[in-house]
Amino acid sequence: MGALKKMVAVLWRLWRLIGTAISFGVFGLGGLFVGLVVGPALYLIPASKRRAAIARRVIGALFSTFVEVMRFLGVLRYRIRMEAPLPSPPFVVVANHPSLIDVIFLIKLFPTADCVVKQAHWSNPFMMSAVRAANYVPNSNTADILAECAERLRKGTIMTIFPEGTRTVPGQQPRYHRGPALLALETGASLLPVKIRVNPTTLTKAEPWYHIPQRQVCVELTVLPAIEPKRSGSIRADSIELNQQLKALLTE
Amino acid sequence: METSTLLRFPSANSDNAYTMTEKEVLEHLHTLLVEHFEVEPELIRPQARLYEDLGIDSIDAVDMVVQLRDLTGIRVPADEFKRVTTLQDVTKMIGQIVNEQQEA
Repeated sequence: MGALKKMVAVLWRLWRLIGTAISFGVFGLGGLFVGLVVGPALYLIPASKRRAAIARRVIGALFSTFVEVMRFLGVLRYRIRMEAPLPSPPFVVVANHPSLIDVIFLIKLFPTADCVVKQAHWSNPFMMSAVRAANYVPNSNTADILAECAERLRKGTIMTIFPEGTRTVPGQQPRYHRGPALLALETGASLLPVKIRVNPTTLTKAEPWYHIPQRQVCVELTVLPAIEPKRSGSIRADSIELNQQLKALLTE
Repeated sequence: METSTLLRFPSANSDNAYTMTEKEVLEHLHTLLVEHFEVEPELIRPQARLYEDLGIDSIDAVDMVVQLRDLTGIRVPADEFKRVTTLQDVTKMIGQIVNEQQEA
């Protein structure tokens, strides 16, 4: 009986390895499809709000499909919990960043949002047409990102930002960048913290993709109550405090 | 503090003069750090690391580049400022920029 149980566990893990490989294949083909067909097609539409909206809808639909493919294959299961109703825009979605799949879930959750995205994607052949068509914000340099995000928030958008800037390195204390807190205080936008738990860990900075955990991966997104920015002292001091509050909410 | 101090920045042909000017720049920085960035004065020493010891993050760094320019007239390229770790790195970088300006 014990041997049988063990064999089932090994087969289940083997299947998830295959499922993960298939998922990567699907993602790669999807990227190719977007890079070669969808992106250029979007470029036929003149650059406009409408093009960005369509591009984001397409990306959101593809990511949602991809999540369901992974679920269907048994690679992962997920749970999305809302602890409070969403605030009205403008607001900044801020999330911790334990794994590569966080991005996919956040875009699935807020497909219309303006996202701050790794600048390298602007010159990556698979990504460039999508990030450009969607008119996302490249994480170029501090001054430019802040100015661009503030301008967009003042127009009433939703922004998605990882304050950690990059994936958390397991075992290291993440550094939370103060930008989202400062933006909220400067523009009056609320902060919407989304806490992401990936358990057991997978696709972290310290693991190769084929490192398949013993148990099935569970992705849990908790949308926490929005925080309204309040000024009390200097904007610097206020943003430092607000950032610390965010960090406390988002880290274990 | 007069803003012209750094315009008299000597070229680095004398070790003594170089140390002096580094000191002057440190004084400017000191004022900036205490008054603008709310850093405790006792934490300020050349080896202090901007982020870890003084809490100067990337947003402050952008601000500091602007403040330094206004205070001393020196334009520090923001990209180069990213590479500094300690206060001493900042003063050295400023020293280099001033010397380059004088040679040009």
